[in-house]
Amino acid sequence: MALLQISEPGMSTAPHQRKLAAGIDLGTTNSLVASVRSGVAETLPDEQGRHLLPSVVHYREDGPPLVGYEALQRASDDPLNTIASVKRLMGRGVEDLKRLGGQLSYRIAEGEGHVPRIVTAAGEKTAVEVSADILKALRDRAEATLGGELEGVVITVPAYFDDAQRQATKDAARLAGLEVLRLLNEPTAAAVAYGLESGDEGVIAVYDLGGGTFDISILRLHKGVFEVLATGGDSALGGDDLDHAIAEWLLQSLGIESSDDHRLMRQLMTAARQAKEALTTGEATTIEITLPDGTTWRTELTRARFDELVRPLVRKTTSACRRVLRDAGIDKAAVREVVMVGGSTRVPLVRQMVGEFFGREPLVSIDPDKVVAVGAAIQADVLVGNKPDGDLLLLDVIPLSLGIETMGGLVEKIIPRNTTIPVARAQEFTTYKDGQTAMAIHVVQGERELVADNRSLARFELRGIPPMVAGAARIRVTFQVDADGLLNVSAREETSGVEASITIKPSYGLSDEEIETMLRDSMEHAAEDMAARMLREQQVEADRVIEALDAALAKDGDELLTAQEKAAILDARQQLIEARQGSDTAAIKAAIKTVEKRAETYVERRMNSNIRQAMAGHNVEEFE
Amino acid sequence: MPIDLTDNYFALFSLPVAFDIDLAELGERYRALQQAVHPDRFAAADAQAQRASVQHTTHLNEAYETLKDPLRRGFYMLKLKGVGSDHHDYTTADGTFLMQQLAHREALEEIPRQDDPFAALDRLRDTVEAEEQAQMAAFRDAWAVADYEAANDALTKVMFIRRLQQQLDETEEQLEETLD
Repeated sequence: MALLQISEPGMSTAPHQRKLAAGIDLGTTNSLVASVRSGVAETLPDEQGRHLLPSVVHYREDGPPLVGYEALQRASDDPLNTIASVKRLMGRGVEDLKRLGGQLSYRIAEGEGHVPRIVTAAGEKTAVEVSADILKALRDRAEATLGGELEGVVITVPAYFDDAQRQATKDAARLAGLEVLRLLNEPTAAAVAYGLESGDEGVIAVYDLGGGTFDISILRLHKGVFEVLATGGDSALGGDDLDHAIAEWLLQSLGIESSDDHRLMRQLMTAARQAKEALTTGEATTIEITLPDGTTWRTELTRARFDELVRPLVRKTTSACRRVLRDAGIDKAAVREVVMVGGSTRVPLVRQMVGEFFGREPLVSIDPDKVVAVGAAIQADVLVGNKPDGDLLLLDVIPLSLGIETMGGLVEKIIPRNTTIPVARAQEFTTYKDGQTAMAIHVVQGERELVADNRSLARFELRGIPPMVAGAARIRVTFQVDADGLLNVSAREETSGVEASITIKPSYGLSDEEIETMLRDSMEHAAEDMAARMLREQQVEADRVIEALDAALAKDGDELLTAQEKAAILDARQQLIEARQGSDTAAIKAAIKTVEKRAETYVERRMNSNIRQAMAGHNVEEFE
Repeated sequence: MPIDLTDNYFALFSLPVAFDIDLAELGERYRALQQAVHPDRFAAADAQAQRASVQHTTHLNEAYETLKDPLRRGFYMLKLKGVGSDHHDYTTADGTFLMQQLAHREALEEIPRQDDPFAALDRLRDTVEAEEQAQMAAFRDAWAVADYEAANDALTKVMFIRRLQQQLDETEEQLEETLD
């Protein structure tokens, strides 16, 4: 039914009501929400006129969590209950945290479970829940400003995010009650914000040095289509590291090796950040620290010294630029524009070194903190259907190879990185024992040859394989990556046609049941709220189905359907309308299924008709 | 007749089954088709439409990736003729070719010890690229006279060459990193 979101200009069914959509930049340090209003995409400020929302959540025993500046104020006094940089923990396991250990100022719960839980005054919180609290704050801001419920959002993620990290982001949105239209790569969003799709054709590099992640993406623009040629970067390198470099220098200057004093550490980090910001324009800055004994310690940091401290970090980013250019098969000289994203690109040394590397002045005219959210808002406006005749289309790639574990702990790549998504690859397996009815498959993501060096995504258990002699079964496992870069796996035994059932054990993610439980827990009157929410979701879907069906039938129902087929569909449509008026969730769901079933061939014919129209005018030359 | 997605990839793009295709034309038709079926066009649509869109776009991407790369295109053409399979066994009986590959590998290992490793790398790259072109020409010739086994052998050799090119890239990367 696509049926007809691809409407031609002037083909809209109802007098078109503008749908509310927003773009969200869920950042490591700061988050933003933006929306297209009166044709202009802009970030939405809070009541005090502040656009940035610090990605910080403060949990307390008595009352809802504080998010943003209010939470940030508690960081020094109550560091253990104040969660910052939670994006670094998204889709990460307990083991990963040990690596980040020195940079975390809060407590992780001991005990079983692969998903780390942060101990707070309001109970244990996963990174997904903390992110959901940030998203809720942004949703509230957007809905208050725009005056209505959001139909959908585009949330940006670093291009380098693996499956687990993307899934965690989507889970957080679900917890926050947001409909995700698409997860969009941050650099792609930045290029959209600069309106590069309307400009000349060519290759664009997007250099994004944010608070906690570094991404470099090479995009090609061709007739309004952005193609991501390659992405690279480092998901654990960002402005925070620049601050750490300064903080470490301060510790050294103070003659302290390291400190367990959370307050002193927070103070050093804050001072470091302020110094970095001051050195954006100034040549030197004075840093003041109140020591535990109450005395004040003062030092000066010059631009030259600062440059020296951070140069190795910036060089890491230009090395990544070189690698990604090679992946893309693009020569440095072919890069037409370099877009700068992320607050850390205000650092003069960063601009200078990036400019030197690419041999051209980078684009810096849009506020590097806002550029991603602005691009996401533009895309959200298109996806929600407010621009049916717009031709902006973003083609995306999978950032890291997907593979499975084979004998000896080696990885066999199933889908190589930088393959355009959505994509599906099938792999055939067989049994190695007589009568074997189950099989385990371990999916990993990464570029290395050994399983242990890659990221474990999930373990799948196939069950229900019909018993046969060893080697006779042919189990076809299909790995499907959707447009958000998320993996789905299905399996089927080919000789018998039996669908094998799959149990997924995400290595670092939350299971559907865990998400459901969190949803329930987050509601005061759990049972009623959940029921109301499920009903609402089905009603929304019913409206979508009816709207799409009507638009489609008006356009080509008579052309593509026999009178009989059309009557059957209309009959199902009528039943759905009746069910929609009631409050029986299951009945609405069943009525939708009936419409879908009867419209199945119609959907297929319409899709083919789209394809024919796209190819119209080309001679279909002889086929073999 | 609606275009059947189980139909061959060339037909999807309204192109004749041929090794030499116009890549610019292929790219343009790919993008036009993407505009028609991509999930972004159905982000606000119902679930059924979204599933159909993902399925069609997946097929389209696979078709494009296959035809874009001469090696995959060639293997695909052979598959349409019932020659070869998805599981290439990477073997050739051409002893001379294998000896040549061995010599290239030895040369590659020597590169970091050369006076001007980058120049040596470029020379080897040029040689290998010329060999790839020669094998592609061999494929064309064999295809023209319907000698599909010979055509398959030529493509298998290209796979060897591709692997070597990958190692050249890795060596270059390592050389650059030691410069940083």
